[in-house]
Amino acid sequence: MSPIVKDDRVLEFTCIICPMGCRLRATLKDGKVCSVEGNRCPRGIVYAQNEVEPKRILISVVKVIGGNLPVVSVKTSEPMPKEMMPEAMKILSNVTVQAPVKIGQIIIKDFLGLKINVIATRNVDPVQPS
Amino acid sequence: MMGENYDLAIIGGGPSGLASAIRAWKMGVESIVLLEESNFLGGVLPQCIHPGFGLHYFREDLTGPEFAAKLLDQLKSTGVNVLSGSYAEHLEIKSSGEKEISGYMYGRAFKVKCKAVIYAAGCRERSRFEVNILGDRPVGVYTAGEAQTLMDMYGVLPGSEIVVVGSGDVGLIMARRFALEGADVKAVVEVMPYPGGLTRNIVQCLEDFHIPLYLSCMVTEIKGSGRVEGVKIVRVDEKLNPINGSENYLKCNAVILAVGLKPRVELLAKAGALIDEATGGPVVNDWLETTIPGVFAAGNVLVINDLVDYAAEQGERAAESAAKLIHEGLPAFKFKRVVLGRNVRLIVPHLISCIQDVTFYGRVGKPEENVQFRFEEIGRAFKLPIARPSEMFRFKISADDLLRLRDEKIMVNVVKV
Repeated sequence: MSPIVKDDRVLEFTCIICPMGCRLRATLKDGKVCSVEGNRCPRGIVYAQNEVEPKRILISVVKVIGGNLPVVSVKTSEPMPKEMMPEAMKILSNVTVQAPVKIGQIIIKDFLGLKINVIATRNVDPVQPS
Repeated sequence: MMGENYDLAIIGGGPSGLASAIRAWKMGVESIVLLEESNFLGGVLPQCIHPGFGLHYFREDLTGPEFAAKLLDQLKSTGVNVLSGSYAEHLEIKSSGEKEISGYMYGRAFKVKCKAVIYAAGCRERSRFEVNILGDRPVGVYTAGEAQTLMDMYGVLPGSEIVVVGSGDVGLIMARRFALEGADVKAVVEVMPYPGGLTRNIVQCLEDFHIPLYLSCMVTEIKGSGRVEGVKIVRVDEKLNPINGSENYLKCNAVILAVGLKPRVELLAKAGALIDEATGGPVVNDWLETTIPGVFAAGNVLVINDLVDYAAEQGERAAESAAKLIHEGLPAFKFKRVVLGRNVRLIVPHLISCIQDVTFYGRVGKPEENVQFRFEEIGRAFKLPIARPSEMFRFKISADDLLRLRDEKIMVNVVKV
């Protein structure tokens, strides 16, 4: 976590909570959101607070050995900081799991020290030995 | 299995077909067959590994494969007979009203007889030739769905320098997937002066990954011998005509087409069902019954939906109707017409009986702010702060309100307030 610094910027972004896409203007005081303008509903304020440190659910695929598919789709169990995505993708591209993989199975525990898991989002069955 | 008899046959094992099979079983239909042409169930869901599915239907944020798994779990506890690998080619209505479906199953002919049919065959993606992209035919030109299958089922990136054609939600979501997997997404090219997808997808798919969006631009030609080498892009005027001298060349090794979807109505049309030009799907009444009695339609073959949740909901609706038909018959009606008014491009159902609640699904023709959707003849109106063609509208009107309809038709108008 970054130390608390004097951060009094004014940030502008588009709210993506719902399809309206409100243009928000958030004023920071010491790195914290102190006021939000442009939101049509209260969810915009919460969004602005989160957007100062933006988070998204990350999805990708990881390699599977011995499965009926060569990869399994995965997601993070919770949204993770957006700026850590490139690093996260690099790690996932080097992960290999063994079939069978069950939907909901934890692929990586405590991913990047974020206290969230990477979990499988589909079943991959083992290939029947012929 | 030649000529097997069932009460209900469902064509298509995607979300609407699965939801209808589960619902019909719960409604007490005990003899159901589900025909699926591929060798897995779930339709497009297994390849859509991004989240955002199921917020309405399951009240949970799920990825596509997770949504499919939930439906398959429910299907397991039914006695629905699933025939995967069976392609339905013909639908014939016997003079007795009995339906006969014939087709191919792993190279062998099959026949199924039934009292009711739910047609849930989904849609297909439009090809480059339907949007006039000429030029060479090299390797590296894929529809968005093909690219998605390659990448998210088989782990193969379709290219390292990619141009996406079409800025609907499908194009935007694919652009993000390519960028995440390390490809250089050169551009998303959109012929209209505004993006086709939701604002939230412009932000989280393009802006998050610094992908350029070229509006009022058109890919006219693909170049490449063997492999894609680049595309010709041209700017267009307000009438979408190419502007002379605005031609540009963009180097890339893959072109991804996200240029719209078309309902797969061929079987229905051949069987004589009336097709609506606006939706591309069959004309239906409020039982979701096509103009062929006892043949119902649901999901993307009925109307291209924004949300899988709506496709599943339509599947359930069709199942309820089919169950009623099988158990007690549907009442005969002089249906009233739903008429497209100002700025309404399409709407389903097309015909209503006015004796039951109706969920209307539709799209506007052009973007407008602060509008009212007016069902004039019964004095019902719904306010929306914004209406966009890319966002389906969905309104439920109760039987009580519809009973007030005295005219032979009901017109839906979008008006500025």
